Amino acid sequence: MKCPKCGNENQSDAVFCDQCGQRLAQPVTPLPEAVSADQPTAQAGTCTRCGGVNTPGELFCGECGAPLEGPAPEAAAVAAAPAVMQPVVEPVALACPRCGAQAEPDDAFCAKCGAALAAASTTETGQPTATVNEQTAEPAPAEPSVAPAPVLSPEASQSLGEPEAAPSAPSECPSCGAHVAPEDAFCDFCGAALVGPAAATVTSSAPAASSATPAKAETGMPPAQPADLTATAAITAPTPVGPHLLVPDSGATIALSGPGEVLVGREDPFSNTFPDVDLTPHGGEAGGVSRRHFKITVGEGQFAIQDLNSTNATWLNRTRLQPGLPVALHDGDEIRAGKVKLVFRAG
Amino acid sequence: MPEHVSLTTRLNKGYVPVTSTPQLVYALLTAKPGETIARSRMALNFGFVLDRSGSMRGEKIARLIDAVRLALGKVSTDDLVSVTTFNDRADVVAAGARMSEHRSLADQIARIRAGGGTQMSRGLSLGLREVYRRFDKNRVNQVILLTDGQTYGDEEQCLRLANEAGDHHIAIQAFGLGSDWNESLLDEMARRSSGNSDLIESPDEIVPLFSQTVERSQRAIVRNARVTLRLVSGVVPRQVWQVTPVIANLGYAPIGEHDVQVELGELDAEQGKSLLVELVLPPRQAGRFRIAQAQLGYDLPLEHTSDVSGRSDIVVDYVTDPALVRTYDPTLMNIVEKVTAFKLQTRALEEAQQGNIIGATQKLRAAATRLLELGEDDLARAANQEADNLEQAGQMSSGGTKKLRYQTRKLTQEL
Repeated sequence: MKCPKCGNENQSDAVFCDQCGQRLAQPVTPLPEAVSADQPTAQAGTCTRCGGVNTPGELFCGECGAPLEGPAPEAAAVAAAPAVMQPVVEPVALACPRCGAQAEPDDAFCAKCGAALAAASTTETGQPTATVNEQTAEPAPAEPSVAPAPVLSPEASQSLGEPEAAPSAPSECPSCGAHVAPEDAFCDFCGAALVGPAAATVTSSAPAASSATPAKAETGMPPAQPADLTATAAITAPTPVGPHLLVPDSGATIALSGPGEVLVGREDPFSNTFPDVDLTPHGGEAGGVSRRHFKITVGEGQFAIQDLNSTNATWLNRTRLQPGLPVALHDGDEIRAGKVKLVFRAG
Repeated sequence: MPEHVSLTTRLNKGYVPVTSTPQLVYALLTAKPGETIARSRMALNFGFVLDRSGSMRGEKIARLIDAVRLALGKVSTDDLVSVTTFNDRADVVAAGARMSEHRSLADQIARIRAGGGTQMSRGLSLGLREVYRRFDKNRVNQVILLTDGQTYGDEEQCLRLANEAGDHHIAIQAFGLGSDWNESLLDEMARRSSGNSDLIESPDEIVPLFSQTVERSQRAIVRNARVTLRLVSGVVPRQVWQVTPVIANLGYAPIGEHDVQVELGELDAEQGKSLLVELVLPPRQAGRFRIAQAQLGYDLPLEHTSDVSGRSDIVVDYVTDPALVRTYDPTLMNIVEKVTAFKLQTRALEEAQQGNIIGATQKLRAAATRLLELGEDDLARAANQEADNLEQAGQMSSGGTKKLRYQTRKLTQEL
């Protein structure tokens, strides 16, 4: 995908430009394997009060603030997922197999490196619960309660047998096919969980049961509009397109406003010195940059540099400049102010 | 070894429906210093810059003197303190020095008298100089500015000084007393210097606010905190809000193809900071997905070190069971509602400023409804009153505007 700002060619699914950080005006597209067309359309959070259309999942109308009830999809269109009874497993404390960090007993993933722990860290106890598991064919009555894991009777638990052994993690993501490391808990590309039943035992991310937002009847709602992703308040640091200075040590770029003279030095408010380009953030103080070190004259495609009698001198392509004498400056020229190195780029 | 600062994450719902369209989830990220470092306290380099113009006469100047004396009672003998006053000129009442070195500071403060006009930049310039003169990167270097009136003609100079202060890591904590001061100016000065601004409605409130400011600065033991969100393909952040200690729109900066960074700045030893991140999720098939990893980086000036927290997974289950997707975290619901009320009043003030009376009135009424639902009756009344003012007179009152602007920021403080 080509960046509309700097023209850099980015990967097709890039959200931000690699070169300049510009948000790429790309709708959120489903991954190739995402969902089939017959899946329900998420109910747009259409406000019943003002008619404003909100992103599905939004809790309050962005226009009038009214609560948006029922951000769930058409309930009738989706068959309830089959459920199966599985014994509750009680994890034991262990060290992460990847980085060796000590893990808490309940941890499913290493807090330090993110590697999966759950598969290796569980032992059976006698407390069964119901959990959703799409790999089983044995349906259980769908539990409409908000509590996803009701405790079953001991009799029910006896028919469950031993817990399934955790399968070994795949080398490629079953969801998107991307290559994954054996110890990864989630695919780096699409985020899919890579540890099946073990991951399913992790319920800590599920929210507490609540009836704070009762779902309302969901009929006649228009399909959701894609979110206006360009409206976010992203703070970008675009690469200057005009003449600029490059700081090779940090990769930072400093735009040179023109036409006219651009004073480069080190800001010192207490002597009332405010150069156009302040090299303090780029090691100016330690590098011996003077408050008024040098200036660059920006003209019509022509540039010149002049040392301003700085204490530690200005060097152009490793040649010391005579103080007060302007010298032509060209694209790619190396400038050194004291110990601070810069590269001049004409555009 | 326990982490110096922990980062925890939770979602407004752990289950999202399998659909063909993008959808929104809210993630709450909380960064909090651990017990081992939460007891430590920062040394201070404080400069009080105090308005003593004619409008401060009477109770205001009396309470201000009380407040400074009480606040100084909370600093340690090693802390650096200076006191500067201004009307249409500026005077250094007490030059920057350790508390133990100050002689008769209380008497000097007690002799402050009100009179004259208001030229804030003069006081700020001298006060900043006192703090800068004793600048120490291992201390909290701060100016506490209090004014009760408009400064005339030197707003640009004030902003320039705020820029300088920010560049030299001196934060300006700007307090406006009463209703006749320029909140846009004080907000901008605070923003440019990485400080805060606040409203002091009555003189009685100066005393506790000054003391709280000193205590909060002593607890600012974590600096340069920033959260990195590593998003999986297709997940897009929409907005990032700071929700505690006060609500603010933080924004975020892209730092890679899928990574964004949110600057948190200083963390309070006891309270830390919480963020509400709005994430737009792409459609997915049923299954468990990690949508993002969050990691916190920070500096610990007392220990002269920097560190990062462990990575925290943000995981959702895409499900087809409609019962599951209707379960919400009530705490997050409450936070989102408060942020919504804040957003509405912010947009109302913006629209009122742009002359969109109808839009501003609607937003104010909507904000009032949300505030009533939240049990914030006083603020709801203020919002309705300002909506009435807009409808009848075409403009909002100065006091009501300030109350809404500053009090709705604090809606999350009872969490």
